[in-house]
Amino acid sequence: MMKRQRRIVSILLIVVLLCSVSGCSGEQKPSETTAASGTQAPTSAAAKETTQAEKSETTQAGQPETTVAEETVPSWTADDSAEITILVSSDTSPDADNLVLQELEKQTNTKINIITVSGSEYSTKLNTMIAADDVPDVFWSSNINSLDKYLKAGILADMKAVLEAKAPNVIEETKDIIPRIKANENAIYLIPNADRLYPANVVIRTDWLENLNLEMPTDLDSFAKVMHAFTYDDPDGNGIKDTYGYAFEMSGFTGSGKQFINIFGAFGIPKGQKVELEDGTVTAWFKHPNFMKAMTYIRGLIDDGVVEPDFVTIPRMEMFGKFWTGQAGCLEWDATGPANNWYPTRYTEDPPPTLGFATIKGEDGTYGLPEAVDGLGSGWVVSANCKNMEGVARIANFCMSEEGADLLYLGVENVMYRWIDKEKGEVEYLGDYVDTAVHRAAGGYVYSKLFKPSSPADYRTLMPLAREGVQLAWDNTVLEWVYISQASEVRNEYGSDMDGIITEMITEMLLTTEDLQTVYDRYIKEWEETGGSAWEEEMTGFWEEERDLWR
Amino acid sequence: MSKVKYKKSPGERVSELIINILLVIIVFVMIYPFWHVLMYSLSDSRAAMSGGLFFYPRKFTLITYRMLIRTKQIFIAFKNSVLKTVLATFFSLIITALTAYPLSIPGLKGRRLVQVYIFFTMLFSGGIIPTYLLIKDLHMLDTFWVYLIPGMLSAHHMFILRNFFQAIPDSLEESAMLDGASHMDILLWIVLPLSKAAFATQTMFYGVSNWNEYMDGVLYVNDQRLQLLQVYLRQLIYTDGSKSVLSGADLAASAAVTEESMKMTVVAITVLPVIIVYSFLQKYYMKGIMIGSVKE
Repeated sequence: MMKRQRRIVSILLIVVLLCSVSGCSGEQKPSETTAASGTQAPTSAAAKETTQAEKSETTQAGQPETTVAEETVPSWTADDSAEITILVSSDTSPDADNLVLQELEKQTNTKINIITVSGSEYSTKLNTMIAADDVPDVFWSSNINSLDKYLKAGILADMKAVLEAKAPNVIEETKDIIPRIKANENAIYLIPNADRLYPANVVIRTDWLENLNLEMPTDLDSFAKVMHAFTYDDPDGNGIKDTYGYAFEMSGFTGSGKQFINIFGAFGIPKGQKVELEDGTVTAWFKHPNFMKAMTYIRGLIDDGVVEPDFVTIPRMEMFGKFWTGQAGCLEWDATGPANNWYPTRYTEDPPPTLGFATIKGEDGTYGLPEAVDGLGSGWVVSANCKNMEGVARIANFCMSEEGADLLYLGVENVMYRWIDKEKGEVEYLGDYVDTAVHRAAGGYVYSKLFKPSSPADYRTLMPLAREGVQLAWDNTVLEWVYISQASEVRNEYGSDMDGIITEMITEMLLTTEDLQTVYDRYIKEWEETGGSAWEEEMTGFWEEERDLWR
Repeated sequence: MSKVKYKKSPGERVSELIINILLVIIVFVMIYPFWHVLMYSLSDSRAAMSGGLFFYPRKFTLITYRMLIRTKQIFIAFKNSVLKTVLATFFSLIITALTAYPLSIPGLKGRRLVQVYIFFTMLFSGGIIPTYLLIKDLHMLDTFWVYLIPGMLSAHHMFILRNFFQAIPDSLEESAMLDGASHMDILLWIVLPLSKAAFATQTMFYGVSNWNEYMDGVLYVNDQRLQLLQVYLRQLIYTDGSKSVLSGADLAASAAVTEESMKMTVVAITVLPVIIVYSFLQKYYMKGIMIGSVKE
């Protein structure tokens, strides 16, 4: 009896499984075919228009004049009645029909539906929409591998023609970046933001320096001495040993984060980036010849007890907290945080600390940072199914103007804010919009990452000290590094394993009692065997192709 | 009859004392995280930054709560979440009961087949993308129906309720049948009144899961007017500390609130309704779950 039941259940399960599988392999719908054929979608739509135009030409003149038709009919879609859906990663949901969105629609003569999703769910939402052939018209490609994936799936539109015809601001603002992107050769699939990111500064408490009669450190030796004094010489003068020199957190160190980035720079290492070795091999920053020297120096700081000891476990916000509460006197972060966004209300001491920025030089005068980049695979992309590419071009063009950037960041002028001194970047928020929550609900700030120009409002409205810090960091971006704008097959396959090995290596090097060189050699061997060597070979090949894009 | 007073031995008293102390510690460990969150959310951000234990608010303030309620969107999201929780729970209870009752009747033809079919969904699901495609094809994207229909029946809850129904003595139903009652009469007038504890538990299960539901709101809904509270609040706490506040004139007002304080407030707002509902239903909760889980 039991045997019979089992047999019935087994047969049922098989039937259900077969049904499920057959469901997956059904016939492709026309829309799926379109998505699969990728860039064919807009061109086929355009081709349809061209054919119709050709027919009318034939009827009127008696013979086909395809060249005339091609000149008069644009090769992009321009249905102004179609709503443009934009998927934006945002930490705030503004009101559904907010003032900024209304103004953006008015300025660009478009209908826009902006979907805001918080950062952690952005890729889930986007991937689901793509898989269901429900691709948003405009969305953010976060890296080269994603871009490569979208291109291979054929879901992106080439925007070159429409941007050249309708978006002069975009062409002007991105003229230096677009040629560096391999995927954009003779096309524009990716529209990068044009703003320059903020590299990390060495932010140091100058009130503590004054209390201890110390100068701003300028090299590795003086930096170590200042950190030592901040830890052991009671810089806050409260008679208790409750301060440390430097605060950091592991996740910002092991990856391409900002911690110790200037210190690695003093050893000539562009932390988090690729480097070219003397023999022409392109590899990762941790295989730079000076890597061991830099790690020995950092380990020396830890052994001296000048680094805030919770670094192994604390998350980023707690690291900031160490700085805000006067437990640490130095932090590596871009100046906009410590000297602008947090100043002075996040600091718990009264009076709040005074801050300065250091440039740390190595033994041979080496210093600097790699250019902070969003990544040349990151930028806005347009769906091949978009029915109003011309509308998208108008939106991009407006957003990449000063007026557009101000709207997206500050809101509607004279309604939500007014300029006090535009040159100095001083603004005053009006009425209820003084309240951040109300301002964001009305759409202020929320969409400010959309097609950002080279001089965005967030930079123009920085406080003077923060601007000084940002400028110093930009001036310090002198380290050479290798940027590849092609997707790596090896990283796609083994990337997370390779990263895991390096995270483990760095963590162990900061904590071990073993010989650092032994630890380093062991992990690097494992990394190379896991895919590192193959990746180096791949990157070296890519660099041969792309080197000229950078010169 | 006089009561015999049992005198505890010193050893028993000591062990009782130790047990009580342990229980107090366990209660503290259970309750303190919630208390910490609530007190932190009521504290001034700067005062709270020094960390440590929070037995009472440090420099009491409601600024984070005020910030939250200053936007129209939170009320829209709150309304949607409450509506979803109430309606989805109500419909789920009806569907679950209507499915569980027939399956609790031993003589029902094809009962085993239906049970296996439902049980199968506990082991395998379609996955995100096939489910998205299904919902899209059913034209439920960007509609309120997507909050109600797809999750209307939980196989797990249905089996608990079925077990509960099976535990009701057959003689009760048989006597009702002798009096001419139909199956629907038996369900409505005999089974349901006897199943209050089970229904309270089911309400709790469905209510909490509907209230906490998050991915439905992220994946299937793009219209801000249909946004759920959890999605709205999640966005609020997903902030990068360095970029989270505006620069310029309103900086001081906004930067006075740290992300940590905002997170605590969001957690407090999210958890509070569940705690309130649980306090009303908890007396049924253990009873219901025990009866439903154990088959006599």
